[in-house]
Amino acid sequence: MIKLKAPQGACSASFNGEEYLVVDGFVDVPDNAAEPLASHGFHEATDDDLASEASEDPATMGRKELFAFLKGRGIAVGATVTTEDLRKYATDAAKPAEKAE
Amino acid sequence: MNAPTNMGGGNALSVQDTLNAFKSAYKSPIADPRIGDLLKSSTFVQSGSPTSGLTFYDLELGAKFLYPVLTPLRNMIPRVSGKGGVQASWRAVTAINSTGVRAGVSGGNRGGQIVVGTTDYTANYKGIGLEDSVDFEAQYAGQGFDDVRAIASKTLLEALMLQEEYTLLGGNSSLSLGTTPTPSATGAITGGSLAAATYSVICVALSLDAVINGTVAGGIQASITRTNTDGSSDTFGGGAAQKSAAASATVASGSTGSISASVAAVKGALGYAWFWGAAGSEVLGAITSINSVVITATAAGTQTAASLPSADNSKNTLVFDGLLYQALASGSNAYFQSMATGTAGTGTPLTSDSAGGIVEIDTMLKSMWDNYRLTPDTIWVNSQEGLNISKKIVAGSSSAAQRFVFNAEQGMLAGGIMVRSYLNRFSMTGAAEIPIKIHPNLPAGTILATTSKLPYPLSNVANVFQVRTRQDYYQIEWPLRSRKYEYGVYADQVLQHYFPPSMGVITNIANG
Repeated sequence: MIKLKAPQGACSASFNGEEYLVVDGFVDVPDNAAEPLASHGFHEATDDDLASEASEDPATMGRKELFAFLKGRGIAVGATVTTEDLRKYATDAAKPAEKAE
Repeated sequence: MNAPTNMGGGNALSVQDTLNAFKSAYKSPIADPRIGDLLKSSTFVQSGSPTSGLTFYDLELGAKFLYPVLTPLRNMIPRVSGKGGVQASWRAVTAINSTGVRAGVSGGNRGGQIVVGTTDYTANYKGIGLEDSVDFEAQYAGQGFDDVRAIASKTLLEALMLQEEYTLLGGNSSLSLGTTPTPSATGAITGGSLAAATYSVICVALSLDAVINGTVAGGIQASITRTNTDGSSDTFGGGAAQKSAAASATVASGSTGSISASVAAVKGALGYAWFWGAAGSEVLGAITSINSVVITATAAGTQTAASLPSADNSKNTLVFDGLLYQALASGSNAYFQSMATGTAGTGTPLTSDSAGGIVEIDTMLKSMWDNYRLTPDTIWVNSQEGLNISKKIVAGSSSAAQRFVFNAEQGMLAGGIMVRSYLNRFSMTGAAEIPIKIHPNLPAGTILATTSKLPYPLSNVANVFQVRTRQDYYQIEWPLRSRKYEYGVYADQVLQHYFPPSMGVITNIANG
């Protein structure tokens, strides 16, 4: 298996009839899936990608990062939402992914 | 103005009074009822309809024929007569001294013996034909206007020539596309209008026949059973490969989702049909000329993937192989390139070499020269590639590598630039000019290069490719069996290509 970094907004990757869900921007697929999925914007996860993902803790994010985090998960929020609420939404959004793991 | 007009000494009226009296009289209806009734209606008036009343019907005699009959390959390919049999057969010497025996000899001794490669070739004759009919009443009704029976014969021959053109270009009786590979797919929450759900995507690779006759609204044709005029029936492949297994793609949330899907390119496929929807209910939504698609909305077609047979129907055994499928056949040694998948939904377009050329075309021409020492003399393209080649050659040249020939006559400068030929840099005689011709039936995304002359001495090949007929076009007016005249136009022939390596095919070219 190989870990691929998913493009922005991607939810799943299907290869050879099997679907692999994207979790926190990454997906683990068979090695030979890397090449065909490259056409869909996936690329092998680099150390930088993994480090970047590890830092995606809503508790430590700034307001701008929280907006990006929520947008990446398909959650639209208004500009007037407080930072605390943003952090709460982001924490909630991160929970299902953790459960899936 | 109001000067008196009393000339006789009686009641005098001024000029103005007279004019006013006239105006008043014209404005008022005639009081006399006898005259008034006469003026209310005319005896004859123009009919409101072109087909009623005493109205001449200005119909020009003779029907107009407003449809294209473009058959460039049929028009240019020589036709020769065969000599019976069920197939055209020939043998060829394909290589001399294929092991590269060196020519140096020692004193008094003989040289080494060379090996000559030979190959046997065959091409099966196939019948082609179409039928139509004119009933007696249609002929009676047409008298004085046109000869309906003559029109039936003329249009039937033209229809057969058009079908023959499709076959000469891309008839496929021997190359199975097989089972379409399972797509790779990705669901995303952005990029379209798909609601959150798990979608199933199925792909079907298409031969030329299926591409030409397939539409999203009308569906693609897999197995076709045709009832013939004599009541018999034929079953043959409509050009669709066996459908792929399904790929799942999930749009996790929202209602702005999209799916990108791609398959490994299939040799012989000139298009791909895409079905999507809930698993088991996938519907045709797109036909692409490249091996990928971006799905942004619910499929608009009505044909379901479930309705397609689980079998490969890419071949039509009733026709002979055309140029494309003789080139694409395994072992043909024709040049073949399938453009890379690239970004799903976008594909890979032709590439400018920034020096007035196209990388992929040069690669093809170089390969044909390096391997067979020949240069093609026609490059057939779709209008899409014709335009893109022109754009890339003109826009991609920073060093003004082109030569522009301007006609100095007044009014002869036209807007737009279209590349009409391509200079082959790989030729013994210097740069050889290859005409670029748009073929009406070549689908977008495919280029075909053909060669009509072999540069080999004493090749014994008069025509590199030719139509060999057991029986050239003939018309039959069948004996009457009802009150209608029945016609058939037929031919019995095969496309004979003596040297398939003299062809080149580039497929899966993206628009751009």
